[in-house]
Amino acid sequence: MFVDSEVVEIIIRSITISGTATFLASLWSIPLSFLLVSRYSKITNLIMGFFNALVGVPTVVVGLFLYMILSRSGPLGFLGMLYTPQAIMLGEAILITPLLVSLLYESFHRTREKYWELALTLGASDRQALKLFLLQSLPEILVVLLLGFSRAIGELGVALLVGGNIKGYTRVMTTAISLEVVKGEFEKALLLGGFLITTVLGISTSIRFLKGRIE
Amino acid sequence: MNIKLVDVWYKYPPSKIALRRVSLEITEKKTIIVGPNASGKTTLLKILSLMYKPWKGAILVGSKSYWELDEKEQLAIRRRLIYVHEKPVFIRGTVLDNILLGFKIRKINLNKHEIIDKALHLLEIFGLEKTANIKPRNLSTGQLQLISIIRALVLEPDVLLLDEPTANLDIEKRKILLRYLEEYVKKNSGRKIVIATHDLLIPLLLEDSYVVVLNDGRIASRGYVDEILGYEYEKLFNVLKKKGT
Ligand SMILES: Nc1ncnc2c1ncn2[C@@H]1O[C@H](COP(=O)(O)OP(=O)(O)OP(=O)(O)O)[C@@H](O)[C@H]1O
Ligand SMILES: [Mg+2]
Repeated sequence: MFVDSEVVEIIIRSITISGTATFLASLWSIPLSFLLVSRYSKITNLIMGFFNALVGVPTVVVGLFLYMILSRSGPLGFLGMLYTPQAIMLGEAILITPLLVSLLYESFHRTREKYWELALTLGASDRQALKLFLLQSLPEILVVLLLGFSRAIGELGVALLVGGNIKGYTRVMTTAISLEVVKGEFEKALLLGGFLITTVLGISTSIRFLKGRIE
Repeated sequence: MNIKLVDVWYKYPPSKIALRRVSLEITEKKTIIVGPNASGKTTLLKILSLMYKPWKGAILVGSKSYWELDEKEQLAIRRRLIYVHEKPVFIRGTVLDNILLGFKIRKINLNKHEIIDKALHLLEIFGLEKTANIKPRNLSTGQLQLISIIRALVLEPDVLLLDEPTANLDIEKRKILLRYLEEYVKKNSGRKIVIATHDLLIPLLLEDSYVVVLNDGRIASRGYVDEILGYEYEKLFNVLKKKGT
């Protein structure tokens, strides 16, 4: 087996792109979930129903949707983002948002009230209460983000459609694997597949570890 | 510190009305709230502790209407009352971390050793000194209940609101707690306790306590223990019996 510099590069790129995508998605998913939990109203259920329904959305559909928006004739075509790593980041961030919001909402729903009330009754301001709540929820938030990262790094549809699998630029593990298989280079495909599985297994192991600490 | 509820209603979203036109002034050192399950005791305590905002009605603290004050004034007042949940909540960390949480939140820069000594002393009173460095999840329900009460006591609030404080305590601990509370209010003229409970030993054991009977979100009757002990108390027993409490 050979691990050439290209393979290493692809692995690093995959982790960077999906990591950034997860970080991006967390920027809106965490506040949104918190808002949905704390300002409960009748439309909350509607919104959550929408996100729950989208959790399993096929990645190619998200890819296609984003492709149409980013392509030269699309509404955001002027940005010139199509076939860039940024396009994959954005697409993966959108892809995992329903998953993040659904899981975070559930977790916050269970814990917000109790930590909030605990903080308030011990004399916290709203800001301190928020801080205490987020600090206590940190392990659960991390678990959810890791799950999101797992889905992002393992997806093919978005990376292929809006990334374009450009060598040395937007080629990530999943798109590289599909290409190597088409070329008949099974050894390289298997090697990359092995790394992908190792990453995902590593993540689920850390999740199990984190869950143990939450108890 | 004087708290007065004027025609207070409370509604849980979207539509569950839990308190109906409750007017109540906490004038006595010891107030006991009794009543069947779901009668609104917990809700009333959370309103009194200024954690929940009434749907309708006003809360006067001294001469000021609390919910019309600005945030800073509210916080200063709120820090003088502490509500202790019937189902205690703990943060990660040890029992001691939890007991010191209030100091951390309030950024009180007292001598650290002094605070810890105080916490350990309280733990000792309740026979819990060995639990200081243990994680709460490894303790029994009754122990946890006492620890959450200690977490409040260590901050020495003017008004201490306890929700079912004795529900999981053995007779011995119950006596220790009630004796401690009795001393606590005696030590300082401004101190008051409000207890919501099904434990009818509490109004009997705490001397001169004022009893408020809730039923279906309304105050059904009120009075000093010995007044209410006669007819009203019997009625209370009947209500409790009927509701199967
Ligand atoms: N978070 C909530 N959302 C909706 N309704 C609630 C909520 N909490 C309480 N209620 C309702 O408000 C009413 C009063 O509840 P509360 O907890 O104040 O009763 P309680 O007297 O403390 O009962 P218990 O003796 O069982 O502790 C009940 O009908 C209850 O179903
Ligand atoms: Mg209750």
